[in-house]
Amino acid sequence: MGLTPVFQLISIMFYIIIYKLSNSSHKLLNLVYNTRFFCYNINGCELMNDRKQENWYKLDNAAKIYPAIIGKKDSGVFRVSANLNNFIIPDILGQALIDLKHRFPSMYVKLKKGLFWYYFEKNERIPIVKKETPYINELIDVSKNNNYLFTLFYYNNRISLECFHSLCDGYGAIEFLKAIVFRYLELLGNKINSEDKVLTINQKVMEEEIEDSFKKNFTSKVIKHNKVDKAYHIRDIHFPHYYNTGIISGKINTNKLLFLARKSNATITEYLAALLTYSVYESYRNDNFKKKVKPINISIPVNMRRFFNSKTLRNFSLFFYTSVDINKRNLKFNDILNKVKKNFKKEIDKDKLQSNLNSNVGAEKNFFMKITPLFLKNILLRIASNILGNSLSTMTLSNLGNIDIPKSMKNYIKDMKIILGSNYSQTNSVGVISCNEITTISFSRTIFDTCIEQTFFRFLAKEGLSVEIESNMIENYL
Amino acid sequence: MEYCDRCKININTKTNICPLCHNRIKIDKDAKITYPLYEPLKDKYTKTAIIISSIAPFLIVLALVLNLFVIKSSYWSVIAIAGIIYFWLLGLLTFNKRINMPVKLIAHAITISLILLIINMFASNELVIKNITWAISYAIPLLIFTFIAFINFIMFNTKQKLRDFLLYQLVLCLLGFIPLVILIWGIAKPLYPSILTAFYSYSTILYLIVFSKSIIKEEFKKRFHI
Repeated sequence: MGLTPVFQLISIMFYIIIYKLSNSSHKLLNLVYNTRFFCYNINGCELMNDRKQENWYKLDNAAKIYPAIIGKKDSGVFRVSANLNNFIIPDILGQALIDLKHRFPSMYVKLKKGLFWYYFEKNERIPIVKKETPYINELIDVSKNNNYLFTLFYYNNRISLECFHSLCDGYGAIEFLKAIVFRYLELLGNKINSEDKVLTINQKVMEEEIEDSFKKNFTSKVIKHNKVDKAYHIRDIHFPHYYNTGIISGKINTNKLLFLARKSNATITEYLAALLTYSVYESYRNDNFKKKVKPINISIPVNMRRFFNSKTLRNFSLFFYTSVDINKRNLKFNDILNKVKKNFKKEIDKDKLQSNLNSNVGAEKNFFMKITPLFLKNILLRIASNILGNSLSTMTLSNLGNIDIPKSMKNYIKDMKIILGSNYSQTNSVGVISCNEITTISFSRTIFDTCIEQTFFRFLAKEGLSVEIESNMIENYL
Repeated sequence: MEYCDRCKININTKTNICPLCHNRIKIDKDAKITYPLYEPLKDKYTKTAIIISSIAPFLIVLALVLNLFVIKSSYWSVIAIAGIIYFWLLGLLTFNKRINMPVKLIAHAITISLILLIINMFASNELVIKNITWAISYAIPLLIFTFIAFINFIMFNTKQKLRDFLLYQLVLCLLGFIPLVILIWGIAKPLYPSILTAFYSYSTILYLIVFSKSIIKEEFKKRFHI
C-alpha cells in the first residue's frame, strides 16, 4: 500500500477543519467574546457594581460537606412549601421559574467536579416544574432534572421547592420561594406590590446576595469549645425503603403559641426545643431507666445573617446543640425548659458563633485539606460526618421564624411549611415556620413510631392551643 | 375536619385513624387528600445489577475450569473472563448517573481498547508480543479516532457542550498519541492508522488552543481551584 491513501485522508482532514473553521468561527468568536464580557453579564443580568463576576462559584463552607455525604439514604434535601388559596396552574408556575433565572444566579447552577473541590457552574438549561410525588425530600436525580439542584413541585394548591442544601439554607430557599410565588401571582394578573419584602425580576442582583459570607467574615481567632457529649438516639423499626418519609405537620396560631412561650419567659424556639426534648424523654423514658443513657441533644441551626449583617442567598447558618441530661428521674417540662434556655443564652453569642465560623472555615483553609484530591476528601468528609454530624445530635429543630410577606400577597397565601430531611441515623427532624399568623411545625421521620409527635402535639393541645394535624399517612401503605 | 378525642386535635387529612395515636376516628368524607397517593418505586436497575453481579463470578470460574481441564487448546479463558468483566463494567459505567458523559466516553474508549488488546494477545496459542498487531496497528488507533471525532461532533454543537467536554477531549487527544509512540518503538506495523490518529489528535488540540484559549484557561481555573 502506497502513501496515497494517507495523503487523501490528511487532505480530507484539512477540508473538515477549514469547513468547521469557516462554519463555526462566528460561533467561537461569539463564545470568546461572551466569556470575556461575562464579567458583568451573568445570565444576561446586570450586577449592582459591574464588578467582574465569573460564571462559576466555589462552594461555600457549609455547602462543601453535602456532595460528599449524600446518597440514597441521606439526600441532603429539604423542602419549603407555600399553600395558596387556588389550584396551581403548572404552565404559569413554569414561566415564573424561568423568569427568575436572572434574579437568582446562585440557584440556577449545576454541580461539577474539580480535581480538588466541587464547584457550581451556570446552568443553561430550562428548569422543570413537576407534579409532586409521594417521595418527599428524595435524592435529586440531576440527570432527570436538567442538572438543576432544586425541584419545584405543585400539588393542588401547594407549591413546594425541594432544595439541595449545598445551594442555600432555609433563608435562601424561602426568599426564592417567595419570589416564585410573587412572580406566579403577578403572571396570573393579580395586582400585588413587593413592598421591598420580596426579590423581584425588575431588581438588579446585589453582589452581597451571591457572596460567600463564611469566607467574608472569617478571622483567625478561635475560642476553645466545650466538648459536646454523644447524643441519645431514637431506635425503632425503620420504614422498609430509603425513599419512605413520614410527615406529620401541626398548624397552630402564632400569637397563641407566642403567648404560651412568653408565659414561661422563653422564645418560641426555646419553648419548642424544650418541648421536643421533653417529648423524646417522655416517649422513651421506659427504655431510659434501664441503664445510664446519653443526653438528648437537639441541634439548632442559627441564621448567621442576624449577627454578621449579611444578605447572602447562599448558605450562612451554623448550629449548636441544646443538651439535656435525662438520667435524673421524673424530669418535668419546666426543668428541661430552664436547662434549654441556659443553653441558648450560652451558645447564641456573637463571639462564640464567630469562633465556630472560624474553626469551620479554618479546617477548609488547611493546606493539606486543600491539596487532597476530591475523591479522598469525599471519603474523609463522609467519615467525619458519620462521627461528628450524626453521633452528636438526637434530632434537629430548625425554626425559620416569621416570614414577612407583603400585605397584598397575604390574601393569596394561606400558610407555609418547611420539611427537613431525616435519615437512618437521625430518624426525626422538625421544621418550624410562621406565615400569615399560622405556625406550622412539621415532623419528618424514617421510623414507624409516632410517640414523639403524639406527646408533642398533645402537650400543646393540653395547654389550650388548637392544633390542626396534616399527615401523608405513609404507615398505612407499608 | 376530623377530630381525635384522645389527642384533642383536629385532623386535616382524609384518614380513618389518628396520625398521632393510630386509634380509629370517624372519617370525614369531605376531607382533603393532602399528599399524593403512595406507590412503591420500581427499582429494576438495582435488581438487574445484583443478578449480573452474582452471575459474573460464576461464569468466570466456569470459563477457567473449562480452559484448564476440558478445552486446553489456548488461553481462550482470558478472553472470556475479560469479556465478562468488560460487560459488567459496561453496565456499571453506562447506567451510573453520577458519572458524567465525557468521563463515560473516555472510560469506554480505554476499556474497549483493553479488551481488543487482550483478544489480540490471547487469540492464538503462542503468547508472544509480536502477535499484538491488528489491535495496536488498526483497531485501537481507529477506535480513538472515532471517539475524538464523536466528541468533536458533540462539542461544536453548543457552547455549553464545548465547556463540558473540552478538558476531557484534550485528555483523549493525548491518548491518541500512544499508538504512534508504541509503533515508533517498533512493536507493530503498519504506521498509517496511528499517524492518522496522532495527526487528528494534534489538529484537534491545535484547533482548541487557537480558538478556545480563554475557555481552556477558565476550565483549568475551575477544575484545579484549591
